[in-house]
Amino acid sequence: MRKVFIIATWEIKKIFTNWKKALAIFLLPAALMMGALNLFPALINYLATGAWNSNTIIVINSPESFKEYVEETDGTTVYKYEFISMDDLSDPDNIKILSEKNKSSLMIGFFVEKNGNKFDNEIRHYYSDLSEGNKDAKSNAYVEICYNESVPGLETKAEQFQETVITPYGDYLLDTLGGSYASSGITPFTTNGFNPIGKMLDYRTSANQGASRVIPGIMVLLMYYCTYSLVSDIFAAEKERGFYNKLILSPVSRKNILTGKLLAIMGIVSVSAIVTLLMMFISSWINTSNDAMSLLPFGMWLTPMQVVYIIIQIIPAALLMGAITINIVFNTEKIQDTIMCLQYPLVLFLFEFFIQMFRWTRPLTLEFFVPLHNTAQFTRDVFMSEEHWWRALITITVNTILALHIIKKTLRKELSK
Amino acid sequence: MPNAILHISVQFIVAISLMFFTFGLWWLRWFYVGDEVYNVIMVNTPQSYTEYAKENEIFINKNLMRTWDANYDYITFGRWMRSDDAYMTVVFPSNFDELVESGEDADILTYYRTNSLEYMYYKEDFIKNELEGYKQYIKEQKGITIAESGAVGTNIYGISTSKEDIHSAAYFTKMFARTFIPLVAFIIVLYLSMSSGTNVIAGEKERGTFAAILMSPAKRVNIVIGNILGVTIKALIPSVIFLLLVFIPTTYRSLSGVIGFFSVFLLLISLGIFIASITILISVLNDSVVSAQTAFLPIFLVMVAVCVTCIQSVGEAANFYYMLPVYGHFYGIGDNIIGEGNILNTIICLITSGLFSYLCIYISEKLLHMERFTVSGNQITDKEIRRAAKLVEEQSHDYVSKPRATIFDFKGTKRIPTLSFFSDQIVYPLVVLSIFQLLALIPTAIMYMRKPEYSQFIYSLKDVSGVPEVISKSFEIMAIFLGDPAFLIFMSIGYMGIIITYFLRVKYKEKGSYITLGLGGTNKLRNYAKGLALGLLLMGSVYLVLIITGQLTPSMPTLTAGNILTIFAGILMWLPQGAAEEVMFRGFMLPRQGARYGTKFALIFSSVLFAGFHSMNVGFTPLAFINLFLIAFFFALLDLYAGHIWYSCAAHTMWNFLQGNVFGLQVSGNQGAATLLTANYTSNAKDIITGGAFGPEGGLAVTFVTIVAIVILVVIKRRNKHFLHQN
Amino acid sequence: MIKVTDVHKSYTKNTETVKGVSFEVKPGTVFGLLGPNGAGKTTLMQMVATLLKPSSGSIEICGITANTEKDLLEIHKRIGFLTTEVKLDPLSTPNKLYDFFARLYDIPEDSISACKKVSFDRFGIGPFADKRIVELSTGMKQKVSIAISLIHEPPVVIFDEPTNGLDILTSKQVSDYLLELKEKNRAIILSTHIFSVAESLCDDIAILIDGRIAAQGTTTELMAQTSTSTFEDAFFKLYTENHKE
Repeated sequence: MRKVFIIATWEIKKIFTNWKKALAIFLLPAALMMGALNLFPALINYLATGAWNSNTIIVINSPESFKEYVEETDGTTVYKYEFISMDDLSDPDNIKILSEKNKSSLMIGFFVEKNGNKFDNEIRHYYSDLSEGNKDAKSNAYVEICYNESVPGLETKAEQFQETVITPYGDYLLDTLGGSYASSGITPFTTNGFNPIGKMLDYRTSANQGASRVIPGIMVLLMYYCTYSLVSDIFAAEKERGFYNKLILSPVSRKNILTGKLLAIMGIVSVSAIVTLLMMFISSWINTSNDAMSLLPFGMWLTPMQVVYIIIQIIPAALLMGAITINIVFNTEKIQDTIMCLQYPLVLFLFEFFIQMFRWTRPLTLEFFVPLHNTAQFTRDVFMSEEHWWRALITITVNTILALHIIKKTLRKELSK
Repeated sequence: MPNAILHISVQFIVAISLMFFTFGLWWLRWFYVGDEVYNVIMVNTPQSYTEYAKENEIFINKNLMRTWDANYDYITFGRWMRSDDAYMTVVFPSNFDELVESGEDADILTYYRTNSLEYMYYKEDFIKNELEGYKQYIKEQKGITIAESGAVGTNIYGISTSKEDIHSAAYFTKMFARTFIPLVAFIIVLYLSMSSGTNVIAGEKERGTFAAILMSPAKRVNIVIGNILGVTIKALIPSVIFLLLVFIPTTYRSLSGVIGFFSVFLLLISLGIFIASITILISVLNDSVVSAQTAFLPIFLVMVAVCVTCIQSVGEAANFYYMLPVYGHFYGIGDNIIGEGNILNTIICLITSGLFSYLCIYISEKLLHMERFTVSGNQITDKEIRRAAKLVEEQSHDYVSKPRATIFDFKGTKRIPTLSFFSDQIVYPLVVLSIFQLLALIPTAIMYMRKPEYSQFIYSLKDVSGVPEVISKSFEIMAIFLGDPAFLIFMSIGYMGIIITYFLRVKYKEKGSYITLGLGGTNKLRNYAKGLALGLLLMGSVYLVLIITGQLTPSMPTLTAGNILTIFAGILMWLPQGAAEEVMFRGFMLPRQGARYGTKFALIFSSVLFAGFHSMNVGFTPLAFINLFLIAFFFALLDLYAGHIWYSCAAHTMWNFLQGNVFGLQVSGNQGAATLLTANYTSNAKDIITGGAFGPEGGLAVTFVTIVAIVILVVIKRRNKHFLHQN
Repeated sequence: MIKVTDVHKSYTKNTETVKGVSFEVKPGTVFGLLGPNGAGKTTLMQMVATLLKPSSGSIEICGITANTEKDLLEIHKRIGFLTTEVKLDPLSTPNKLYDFFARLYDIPEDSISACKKVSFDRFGIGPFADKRIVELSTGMKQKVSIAISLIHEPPVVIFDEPTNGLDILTSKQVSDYLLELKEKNRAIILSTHIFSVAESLCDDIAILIDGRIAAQGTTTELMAQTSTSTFEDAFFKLYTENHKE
């Protein structure tokens, strides 16, 4: 056992003597992904609309009250407003033309149906009706939020806008235009007026849902990339150099050499996976703009138990990846073939990543019997807070058994040479 | 073929089919709902809510009704929810009905469990249905007229600018052809180009065979183009086969299908050439397969990102994008498959991508000319060799041969770059301090959230906005915490933690002795006692100056048992606090900065840092900075003369203790809660002397006393060389 | 010490690389394996070093045949294998490599530095002990390689073309070291295609042509056998007689 550790520490130390390699393994892929995730929404926005800043709201025929409201809340929201007036609103083509021109912008219009009242007057009228005890008081005022259907994610943005601006604006109207009705204690209570923990939980829900689509795929992909570059250094290059023969000739059994190297790979890959996770975490927490199209929204959160779950299932997955890559290395002769074969799973994982991105169903239990795929699915479960200990058990057992099987087979073949 | 490849292919196919299989099972409820629970715990349920529930036939489980005064005690609520299979706790203020009656702020809080993300939606439903209904009910009870409709209606609608029905099967097939098929083609081409393209030139360089190729009479440009063609053909064969399979069912239809087929074919070839030329360029730039692939990886990711952006805006992109390489290829392939391709766009795309490819070829050729002959020795570049040589040289001068000043027996360590030295001196204490103080704050904050008497205070935080208010509120909170013995003990543990980290750092990182932290010397206990006396003298003089100048009059408050406990905990806190700050700013910094830049620099810089670290506190003024600098300077001088930091540790502790827990003054802006004496500032007290909200350390009284102390220290040392000297 | 009996090796079904080779090496002698490129020298050497398994026949080293994993490790403790094919990890240093292999070969922790000093002094590696392998010259690399291969002072030493690509000075040092080992009563196998090396060092020479030993004996014996006056002529004669297209 001592020798296994000697070999493992040797390999780990070797990685750190080459800072470029260490950087390439630990930080580069995760950092790149982080950048991609954060740039994605902006990029998509730009491509879809041709504008970088998509938070401009076009306000058609704004009443005085909304202008005042905007002034008062200036700086508290991300939105910028552009006020325009339009005479002929009855013609839908006018709005269509406007929407074509400003694809990424939401448009809001203030209307009063039927009677020709002004918007503010209608509200005033309504409240005074109410304070007089008229139960049939009816307001014809409404706000219309339009978005361009062809721009992905704009509908969510419209909903977000309604929630963060229009609803508080309604309350503001009551305060300013409510007159005597407002002073009669119209809001008996508030819900979650100040509830930091509830707020954190809400953020966590949306962030973890986003994460459950993106992170499982990325994690497996980057873990494999890390294994691949490690193995091509620890095994493929060493075999090519003949250094591997030197190791074999030492009085350490091949099993121990392999175990030591696998241990090193497993350790480094697990650590790099955890680094990736950490990066994703940071990526979520620096995403304060919380754009509707963010892949990783603000406030991702895992309980300590969930972190433990992820870590314990990363390790067998790393082992299995190590086993697969080693099998490839030992069964190919030329280094070109080795590298080609090593890259092949990378492409498969990339496909899986895309499908996972657009998947909306929960995984079947059967899926947990598919090695490596189960790691991704279990990570997804953890982020969705649907993790079950028995699924973790299946994942770990399946991956470990397959890994050991492949290692055993590889070793047997290697010994018979 | 290694059998792992077989394994992983089978795995992949099974996984993908299972995933698609679940898409077909969308009608199965299980795919949406897991093992969620449905109970709701009501805390402090008001009478009116029960009545409302009865009237509207809302079921309330009597067993799940609780009374609890601490509204923010989510730990207890969490325990209840777990034991009672509830997903949510609704917390009413205990005097909810009275609050509503009098029209005051009444805030209902909801907490939900974390073991399913669905609970957020459940919670929102609960608020929307039950609580909104309850609101209406209260309004009715109070006789407020409610109308059927609200004041402002909102209406969200999308404007469609496309003419197709987006829900039809034909549309789906079309979208599939325009998104998935080009994506697959792209990934095949990218992957195959990567693996063969990085192998040719970079791989040949690595194996040492590239020299022979360069020596041959072939033109460089021919080498580049030949390689590009090879890579292109390798990459294109599978993707052309794939596209043929896709095309067979559609091409026979019409002429446009045939034109489409050729367009796609041409587009694919130009895409292959484009990507191959990029790969070859990278291959020329690198000396080994692995480094070439590492360099290609970002491009691979960028290409995939571009594919995703194309997918997102397929059929909607501006015409301009159809003419660009990559975008044009993606859109063009998709459009031509469904027979909507634009020949002009295709041609322009071919030309632009051809131009880009030409650029790559041109650069590759120039590079080959420039480096003339690049064959790596064992994959190592010249730069790395130079670096290695530099490293060896640095290692041979591992230790600073002559430290500029030896303080506390510190002989110097490995030389590190200037920038990292300074960032280490500044960032390290900052990080350590913030981590340990945060660690002490978290349990205290949780503790206070669980106390019913603070619920109202926490609720009042909702109106806090703007930086000054946040700062003043946080000091208000600190004042509350500082009156709590538990927090003082947490802080005390935190400060001990800081000292321990410094010990570990010296032992394991510098591999030195704790003596280099200034903790050596003989008669440690006696020195510590002397230091306490010094602290008493200094702070006593400050206090006397304040009284003599008529700034304040002391009075004796009555002491309670709680106060005595707090004062005792205060002593426990100030002991490690003083020691920790001395270790950080004197024991650690003086010798290390001194060894590198000399004693004078260390004296001044460490004192500046000490003052700077206190600048975040409330009521900070420039005078406070000067005072803190002077105090730090005095302590540093004292330590320097003594050869250890025991005096200043003790004096620091005594100084803070007397200020905070005896004289009742602020300690650098923090007001201690329990004191032996109360300081009553007189009406003619001047902030410039007393220091105002920052405490005496912000006033001239301290300036006066420290300057006198420094002068006395220097004078005695000049007269008597052996003063304070060890042994 | 080394006993090779009727060893065959075939990589693919139809072609045999080594076709029944037998020889024996006694302690204190240098056995030279001489042959043209592609004669199967390296394959044979690798089989002796247990890197490859013979298709048939047996190889006995210090009385042990590598049948089980345990035997294999016992053999590994007794052999040192050296070839120019090995490239050491370029970013490592001789010091680190020595420590690593010393631990693998179970050299007691407290005697590693003493052993290292002796061995490095012998080859003059000392001043370069902390340089990276990339910075060393080819000769120095080979010396480091030798120092590491013989870390455990094995009774059997296998050299696969040890002086390939070295300058005369370094070759001389290596040859001197070989003779030194011989005096220490080690059994040495040396494969080479350089006649002068074989002539000056080997006590017993086997000429391997097309996977078979064409002739075996001392240089004088070989010359006598083929009735030629120089060793080179003897080799050429043997080659033309035994080589088939």
